[in-house]
Amino acid sequence: MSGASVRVGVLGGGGFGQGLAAAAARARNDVLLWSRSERELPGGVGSTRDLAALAECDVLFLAVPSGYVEALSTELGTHLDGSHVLVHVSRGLVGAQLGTLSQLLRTTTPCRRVGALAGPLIAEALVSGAPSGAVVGTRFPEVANLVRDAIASEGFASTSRRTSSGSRSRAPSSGSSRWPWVTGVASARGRPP
Amino acid sequence: MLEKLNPLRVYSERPLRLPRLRPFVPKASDPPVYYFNAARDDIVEDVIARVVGRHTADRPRLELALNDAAYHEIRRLSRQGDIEAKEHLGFFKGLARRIARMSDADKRDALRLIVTRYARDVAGNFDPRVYDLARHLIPRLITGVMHPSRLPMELLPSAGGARAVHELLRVEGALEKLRRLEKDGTLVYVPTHSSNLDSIVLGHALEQAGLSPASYGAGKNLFTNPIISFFMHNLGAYRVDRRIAARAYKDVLKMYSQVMIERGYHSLFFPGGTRSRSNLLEHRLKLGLAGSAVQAFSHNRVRGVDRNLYFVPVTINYELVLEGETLIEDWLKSEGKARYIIENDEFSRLDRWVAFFRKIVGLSGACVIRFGDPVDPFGNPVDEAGCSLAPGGRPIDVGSYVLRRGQPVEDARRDAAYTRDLGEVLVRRYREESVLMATSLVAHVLYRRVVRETAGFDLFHRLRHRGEVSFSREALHGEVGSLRDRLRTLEDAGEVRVNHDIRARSPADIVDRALSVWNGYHRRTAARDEGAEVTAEDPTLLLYYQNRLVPFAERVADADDVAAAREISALEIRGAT
Repeated sequence: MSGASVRVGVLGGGGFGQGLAAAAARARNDVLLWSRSERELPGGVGSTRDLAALAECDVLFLAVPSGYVEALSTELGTHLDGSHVLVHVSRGLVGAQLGTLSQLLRTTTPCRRVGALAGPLIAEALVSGAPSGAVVGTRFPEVANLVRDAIASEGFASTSRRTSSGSRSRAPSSGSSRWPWVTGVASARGRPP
Repeated sequence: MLEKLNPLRVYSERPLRLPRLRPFVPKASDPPVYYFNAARDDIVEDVIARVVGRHTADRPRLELALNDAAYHEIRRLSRQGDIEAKEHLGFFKGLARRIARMSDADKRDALRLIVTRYARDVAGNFDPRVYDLARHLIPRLITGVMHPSRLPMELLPSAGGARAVHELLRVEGALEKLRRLEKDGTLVYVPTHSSNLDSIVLGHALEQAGLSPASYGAGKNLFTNPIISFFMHNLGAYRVDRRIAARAYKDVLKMYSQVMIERGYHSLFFPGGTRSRSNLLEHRLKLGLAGSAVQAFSHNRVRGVDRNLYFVPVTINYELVLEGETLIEDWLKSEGKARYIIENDEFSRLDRWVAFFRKIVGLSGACVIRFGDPVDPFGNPVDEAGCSLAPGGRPIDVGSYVLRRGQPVEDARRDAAYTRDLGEVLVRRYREESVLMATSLVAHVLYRRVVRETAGFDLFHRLRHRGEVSFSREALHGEVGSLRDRLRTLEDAGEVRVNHDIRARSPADIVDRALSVWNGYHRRTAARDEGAEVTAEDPTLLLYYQNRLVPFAERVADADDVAAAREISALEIRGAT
C-alpha cells in the first residue's frame, strides 16, 4: 500500500485535529484541515473552510466534539460518495438509540468504509512526534491500512493484526458494532515502543 | 460395473431433459435465462477454474482443501451408505491415505476432479418449453385442486384460466420499477422464507407481475420427487445438497451463484437460509450468497462491466402456513438448534396439500407477496432510473464503493463487510414490507392474554396452559379492533403493512376469518369458538402465528398489556430462526 501519498482531510482545528494533521504531514501526505475558524496550522498543512474541498481526500478524520458530528457529517455527506473513508476520533454514544458514531456516519453519509481511531492517543505527542500509539476499530481491514499510511511516518513501528478474539470481539459500549480489526500505530523514535 | 439402476434414482440424479430436434434460438427480447443453456458449459468451466485457482495458490491451501473434502465426504458417505457412497467413498478414502505422498500435480488433479464433480451436480438447466408449460399448467392445476368442478374449464386454453389463483395470491409492491430495472440491471430477489411452497409461489408471482424468471438454488431433497425434479431442473434451478459439508462444495455453490449474477441472470435466494421455524421475520441472515452477489458486482466493475445490481427484499405472507405445525414444534424441540432438513413434513404429503388448498379456497389474499423497493449492493435506495441515492436523495456513483484510491479493486474482506451492512438493511426492510394477516392479529391478541395470565412463567411452562384462557367475543373484538387500528397507524408511518383485506373489515369478520382458516386444516385447534367465548386452545400454534408481530408488540399494546408485550418482544432477542 505504501508508496503513493495519501490525501488526508482533517475536520476540526482543536488539539486532536491539529495533532492528526501534523502526523499526516510528517508522513509526507497531502493534508487539508477544515475548521470553522482561522487557526495557526502546523507546517505543510493546507487549510480550508469549505467542506466541498474535502471531497478530494482519500480519508477524512473527524476530530470535532461528538455532539457536532451529526450535523457536520450530514453536511459533509452531501459532498462525498462511496469511495471516501471516514475515521472518527470523537467518541461516545449519540441519539435516542445510543448508537456509536460509526453507525451514525453510515446513516448521515453515503460512506460505508468507516472506522474509529482510539487508544492512548495524546494530541501533544501527535504534534511533537513523541512516542505514541493508537488502534483503529473497523469492519474493513483496508481502513486500518489506510489510517496507518495516513498518519504513521518513517521511524514509526506499526502493526496490523486480527484481534485474538476475532470477529466475536465487541466494544464494551457499542452494542451491535463489531471491531474485528485493530491496527496499532506506534512511534519509535530511537527506541522500540 | 453396471449398477442395477433404480429409475427413480436416475431421474433424481440425472434429471430428465426433453430432446430437441432443432437448436433453440432465443429472441433478443427474451429474458437472460433463455440464453442459459447455450452458456451452461462455459459457466461450469468458469466456476471450476476459479474455485480450483483459489485453492491451488500454494501447497498448504491445496492440502487443506483436499483434507477437508476427504474428511467431510468420508463422514457423509459412510453415514449415507447408499449407491452414491458405493461409487465415491473409495475415492475419498484412497485420497485421505495418499495425500502425504502425492506430487503437487497429482494434488491439483485430484482437486480439479472433486470440484468438477460438484460443479456439474450443481448446475441447472433451463428449458423455455417447460417454462411455458409450467406457467400455464400449474396455476390451473392448483385451481383444479381448489375447485374440482372448474378443472375442465381451466384446462381449456381459451378459458383465460387460473382466476382463482389470481384471487388467492396477491402480488404487490414496486412492480413497475422492477420491470424497468430488470431490463438493464440484474435483480437479486431476497425473500423471507416460511414454507417449501415459497419457491413455487414466488415463481408464479414473478410471472404474474410480468417479471423474468430467476435462477435459484433448491435443496436436493426437493429433487427426489421425479415430477417436481423435472420442473425444478428445467426451470433454471440449481441443486444444493445440504448434506455436503466440504469447503470446496460451498465454494462451488457460491461461485456458481456469483458467476450467474456476473453474467446478468436474475437470481433468487432465501437469506434466512432455511424456513423460519418460529415464523419470526428473519432477523439474522446467512449472508454467504448475498456476499457472492456483492463480489459479482466488484468483479464486474474491475473488468469494466458496469451493469447495475439490485437487491429486492420480498416478503411472502401466508394466512395459513402449510407446514406451520411441524415448524413450530421443531423450533421448540431444539430451541434454536433446528434440524436443518426436515423430511416427511406436510410438504411431502399429498393429503395435507389437498386439505391446505381446500382450506384457502376462495379466501382472497390468502397469500400476499410483496416486492419491496430495491436497494443497491451497499444498501442504498435507488431512484426510478436505478441510480443509487445518498442520504438526502442525491444521486451517487455506485461504482465508487469498490474504488481504492481511485481504482476499482476486488477485496473479499471488504465485500464481506459490505455484505454485513447490507444484511442489516435487509432485516429492516423485511419489517417495513411485511404484510400482517388476520391470523397474526388474532393469534397475537389471544397469545398476549395467555402471557398476561401466566406472567413470569417460562415459555415451555406457558405453552402447557392449553384451553385455560378464554375471551368473551366482545372483549376479543375490541382488542383485535384496537390492534388493527394501531397497526394501521404504524402502516401510515411506513413501518409495516396490514393485509388489504382486513384494513376495513369489522373486527368480528377478522376473528371469524382467522378461526375458520385455522380450524379444519391444522390438526390441533388453535382457538376454540364457543359462541359467546373464544378459548385460546393451543398456545403453541398461537405463538407461531403471532410471531410475525413480535417486532411491533410493545408499540401496539395497551397499558394493561405492556408487561406481556415486553415478554413477547423478548422472543426475538432469544434468537433462533
